[in-house]
Amino acid sequence: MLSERLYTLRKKRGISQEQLAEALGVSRQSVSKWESGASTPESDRLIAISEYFDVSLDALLRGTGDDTPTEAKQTMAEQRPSVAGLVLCLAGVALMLAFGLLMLLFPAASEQIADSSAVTLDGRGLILLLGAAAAAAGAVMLLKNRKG
Amino acid sequence: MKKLSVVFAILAVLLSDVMCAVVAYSYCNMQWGIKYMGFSAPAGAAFLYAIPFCIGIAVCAALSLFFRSRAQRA
Repeated sequence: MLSERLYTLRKKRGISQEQLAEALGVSRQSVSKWESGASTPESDRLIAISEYFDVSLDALLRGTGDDTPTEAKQTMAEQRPSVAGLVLCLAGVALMLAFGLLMLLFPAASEQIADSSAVTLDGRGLILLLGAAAAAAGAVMLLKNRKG
Repeated sequence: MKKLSVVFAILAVLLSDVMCAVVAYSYCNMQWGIKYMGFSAPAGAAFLYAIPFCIGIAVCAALSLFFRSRAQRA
């Protein structure tokens, strides 16, 4: 019920009926009536309540929606690491590890790669730098969306 | 987050191990080349191979600390 949800949201926020009434520009009695179910807020008041508690109208009226504040949802989404950044970073590190081991275990193969480089810089150095660049780019992507 | 922190810490250690092995191998290879093949570059040029590995180690260490601090905050 709307009255119960309103009461729960107010308690969650830790404010009194007076404070809520002041924030919404109504009397304390109105808030009391809404919470007891004696009356129902008008549509413009409902919008003001949903904005004040940062919940959707659907969650406020029907209780079916997610009543997690949108700000909290955004924070949770931002705290999730970027999958592309993670993959790029791990791929870069894996490339460096694999090529480092190749240089040690199969020097002939690494020599072939070095000779195949069209650039004056040694092909082995190029591959290692590519791995480092991928790891750095992945790290930038991971750190870019952090907050706080 | 905690798992990612551990994964990146392990990767940083692995990279440092491989870096030491690659630089040591290249250094010895350069010394042999200077002695018998007439390489003109000094043996110390092998340390250039450490640059990309150092970048990778720094990236992994930074990400490990970042994910660790985030896990503690959560």
